[in-house]
Amino acid sequence: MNIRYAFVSAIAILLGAVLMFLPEKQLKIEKNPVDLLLAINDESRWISTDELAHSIVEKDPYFLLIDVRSEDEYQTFSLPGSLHIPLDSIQSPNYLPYLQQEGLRKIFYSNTSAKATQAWVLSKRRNLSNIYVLEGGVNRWVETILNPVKPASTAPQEEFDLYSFRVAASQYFGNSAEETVESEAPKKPMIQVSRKKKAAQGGC
Amino acid sequence: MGPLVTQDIIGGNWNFVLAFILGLFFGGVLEQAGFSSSRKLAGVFYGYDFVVLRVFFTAAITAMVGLLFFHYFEWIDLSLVYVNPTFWPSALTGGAIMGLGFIVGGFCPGTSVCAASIGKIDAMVFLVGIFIGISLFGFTYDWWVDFVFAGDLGRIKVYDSLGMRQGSFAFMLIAVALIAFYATRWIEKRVKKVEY
Repeated sequence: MNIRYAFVSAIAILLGAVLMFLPEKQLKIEKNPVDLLLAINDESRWISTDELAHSIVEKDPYFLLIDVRSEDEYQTFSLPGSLHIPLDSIQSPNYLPYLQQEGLRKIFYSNTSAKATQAWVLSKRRNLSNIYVLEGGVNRWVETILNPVKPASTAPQEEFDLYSFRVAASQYFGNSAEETVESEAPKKPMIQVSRKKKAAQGGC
Repeated sequence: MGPLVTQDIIGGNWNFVLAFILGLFFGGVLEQAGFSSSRKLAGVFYGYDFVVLRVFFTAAITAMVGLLFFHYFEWIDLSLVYVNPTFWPSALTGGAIMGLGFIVGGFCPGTSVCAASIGKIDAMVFLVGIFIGISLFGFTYDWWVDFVFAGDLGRIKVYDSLGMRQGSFAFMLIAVALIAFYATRWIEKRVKKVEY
């Protein structure tokens, strides 16, 4: 037997034996406090209701809406296509696979920004990335997207553009805004089809 | 500290650059080990050459021992390392197809690229076959999708399924590897040499 092979085998066995007697070790996967504080002060976690409406209308496949409110609130009203993870179980390992999907933007929302921000901080602390908070939550959604307010007549053009987007979005989400843009359904033109008269039948 | 990519210590684009460089080295090592010869690769199925088994088993236990010690020294957090979820029906079927292709074609996907790059014609034909297979699967994906994701066992690990400690399983695997190395040497000596 080759002496080199025997030597390498002995090292392998030794390392294996050490591994066998090493105690199990669970590393902390928490973000360090300084980074967490910097992340909390960073404003880039906010997603506005308009951005969200855009994403939904354009059928953007790369985001996941997460409702962190209670079960009752979720049943009463929720944003289209949202997943329900109550705030008290956001740390549960059952939901971890949803939050760990790297490619998806995970957007937390609650009635205001408060609970969603808590969920965001808890998740950030666990080093989850690509997570956001819906600014103003469901309340802002209802105010801006479902019931948009017409800007004053002196407002700049951008506000009118935004308003018309919101009216359209409101219609998209099934809530007709009060001032809907009048558009009559185009009448279908009647096409007279002239059928060839069949030749007189009968005879022989 | 690690894993570096998951924690954004290495950014998303550098990830690809590093993957490219590591891939070059991987190809170089495969070539060095003689894996661009289909006769050598197929030898493992006929019993005249077990280098494939030894090289890959060595790579596996080296990586395993390294990762476990790195985890212990807090250089890498194994809970952040991605583990593929197991879908057993598709894993079994895929394994059978892969094994059959390995015996018939004499290459596995990585080694075929390696051999094609040094000008082996059979490897180039093999690569064309791979791309035809991938395209067929891609275009008929809707037919298979239910089967592909059937039988989800989640991110299971062997030692959890066996109810063993991680370290004990590592030791056992090293022992199995060493026994396999010596056993295959013994077999090689007794099987008729094939010149290639």
